[in-house]
Amino acid sequence: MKGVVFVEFIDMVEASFSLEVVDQIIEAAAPVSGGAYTTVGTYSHQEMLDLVGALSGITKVPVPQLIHTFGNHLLGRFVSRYPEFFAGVGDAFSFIKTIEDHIHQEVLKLYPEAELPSIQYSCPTDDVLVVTYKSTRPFADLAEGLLEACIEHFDENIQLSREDLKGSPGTHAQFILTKQ
Amino acid sequence: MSDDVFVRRLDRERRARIEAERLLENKSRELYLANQSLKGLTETLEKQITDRTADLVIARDEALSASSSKSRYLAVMSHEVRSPLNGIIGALGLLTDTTLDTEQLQYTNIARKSAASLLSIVNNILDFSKIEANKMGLEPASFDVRELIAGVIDAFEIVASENSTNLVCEIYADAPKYLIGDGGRIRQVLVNLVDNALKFTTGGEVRITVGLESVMSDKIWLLFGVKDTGVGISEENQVHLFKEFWSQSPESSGAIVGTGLGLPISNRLIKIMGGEMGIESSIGEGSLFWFSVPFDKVPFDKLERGEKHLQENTGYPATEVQQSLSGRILLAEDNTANQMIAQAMLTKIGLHVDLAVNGTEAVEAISSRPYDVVLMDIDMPEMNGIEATRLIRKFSDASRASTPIVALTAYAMKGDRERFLAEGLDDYVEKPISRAGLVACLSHWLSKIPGPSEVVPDSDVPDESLFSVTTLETMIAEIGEENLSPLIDVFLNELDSRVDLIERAAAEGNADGLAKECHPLKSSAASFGAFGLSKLAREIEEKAMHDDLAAAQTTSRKLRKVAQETRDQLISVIEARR
Repeated sequence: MKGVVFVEFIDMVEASFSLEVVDQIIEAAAPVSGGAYTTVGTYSHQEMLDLVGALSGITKVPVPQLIHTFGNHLLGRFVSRYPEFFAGVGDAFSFIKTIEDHIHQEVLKLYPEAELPSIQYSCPTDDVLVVTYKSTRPFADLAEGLLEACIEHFDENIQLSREDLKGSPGTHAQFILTKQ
Repeated sequence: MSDDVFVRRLDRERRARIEAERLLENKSRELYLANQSLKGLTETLEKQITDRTADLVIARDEALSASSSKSRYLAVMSHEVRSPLNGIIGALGLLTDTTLDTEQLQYTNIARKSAASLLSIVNNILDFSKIEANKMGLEPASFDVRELIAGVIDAFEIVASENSTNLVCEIYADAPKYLIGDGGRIRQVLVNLVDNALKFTTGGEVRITVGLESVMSDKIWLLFGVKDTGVGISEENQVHLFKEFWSQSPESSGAIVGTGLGLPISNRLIKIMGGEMGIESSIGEGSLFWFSVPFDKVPFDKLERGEKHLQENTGYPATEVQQSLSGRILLAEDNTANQMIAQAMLTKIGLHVDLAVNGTEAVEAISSRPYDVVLMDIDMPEMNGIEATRLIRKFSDASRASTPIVALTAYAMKGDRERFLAEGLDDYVEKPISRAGLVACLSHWLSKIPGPSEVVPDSDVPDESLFSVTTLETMIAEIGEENLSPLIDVFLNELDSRVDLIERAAAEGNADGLAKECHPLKSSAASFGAFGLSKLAREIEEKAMHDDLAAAQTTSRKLRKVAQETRDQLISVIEARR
């Protein structure tokens, strides 16, 4: 998992809770990297799961909800860090369609070792977009949080529903976005 | 918040920075290597492009060289094949002029026809090759449409009569007389069409028609037709007519089938001229081949001059008038047969000819005396015509250095004329030489030279009877009226005995005697204004001097009649003065 996700997670925890909570979850999770995250590094996704698990232990908020919230937060950070991916895109459907074929391709150019989830889509009608998330890591909640924030970013009235697909929990999911 | 938390955070920050620096260092190295690799790839690509470009340049040069070789090969073939043919055709022509029995004449005629046919085939193949190589250029000049048609009719008159076919022409009044275009190529197309028509027609009619089709701004479109009453061509065969190497066997005549190039070449020539060609035919009802071609109008001032020229010579076909020239020509030609032919032609049109068999001799001849025109063969042993021309042009005597030099050669590719002109030659006559071509060229170059023909006043009597009263009167003024009568008596007495002597020398085949007797007559007759007689005497003298006894004998047959006319004219002038 790319370092930017960890850096943003740590920043979010520090901003939402406190530096102590950050220190506590790192102590509790005891990540191999020692919690010294840099945006240009790459770390095991297990460290993220451990950190979130530790945060859940402290805050008593369920892990899926924490990850979902982090997804909401992460989209705003992406808009701020990588505005070029949002420039000239006017709506959520258009943006989501660029993830697999454009954004992920650009990420791979810079970080050939990055392991990215597969984000496929289909359009049964003009008003419906079906997004299929498949990953080796269980971050469907993160994806859901990102999609939700994306709809908000474009200020559209779109209903988002989720259906988990067969496989390990959280690794395969289908999201249906329906314009209202 | 304890200090430990901050310390740990700082520690994490420091380690993160170190890790980030390490990763950046690695990424930089990767980028550097990738950049190097790209640079290498670019260089390889550039080398590949350079190599490929060089290969293409070599391939292009090879293709150009091959094309150039092909052109050179054609030029050489043209020379190699046409030179000996020229010799054969010319020698056969001269042979026909000698005394032959019926059988010999028959064989000679067969040989002449076959040689002419071979020349036509060679010309067709060369034309076709020129067209294929896009080297077929047109040579537009003003020409007389009626004269052109008359020439075609003349050429086929005998064939048509042998075939019991009426060969007629119909020139509509609306067709302009003079036009600017490539008359030679129009003639070639007409000759081809008439030749074909006669091959497929027996006992009927072949009709050449010419009429005005339209006038568009500065272009005049003429419609030519060649209509026969022959076997006709099926619709199926009409499709193939303009394809190369296709020919229909003339069922009725059994004549030789040609290369199948005549019609395709004609069609292509007409297209090159911007015109079009077509056919209307049905089996048993004959065929009509037609073509329409745009010509330029002859500018008014030139037209006026042309008409004036004809008016001045009323009673003469234009070609006849031009076939009498005067001047001294140096003929540089190594091939004996070609020498004989060119010399015979030149002498027949009244020119004095000296010979040189190579460039060295030509240069020597010009350094020893002036010439009006040099006819220079290009390919000669020891020194070729171009080298000789270069040396002549360097003469310190400006008038000799600027002697008009006309290339006389079988090189016939487009561009040769320009090449010869660039080498310092003034003009070009293509072999096999024709009398008309030679006359056309030499009349131009000799027109700058004053000669007897220029002092002859305009007259509508034939050359041999030309008599200038003005010249006679000038002489009378110079010698005095009182001396005229005895002088004329002496002259007329002398004239009678001289004509006898000339006729005797001719009958005995005595060339020296002919020359000896004609020489004084030439100048004395001119003194009395009897230019026709003088010219005739000069012709006989020159022919006799140049071992052309047969021609001298033929010409001498006219002498008595012209002498009698001169006598009558002199007497009538004297009578009038009394």
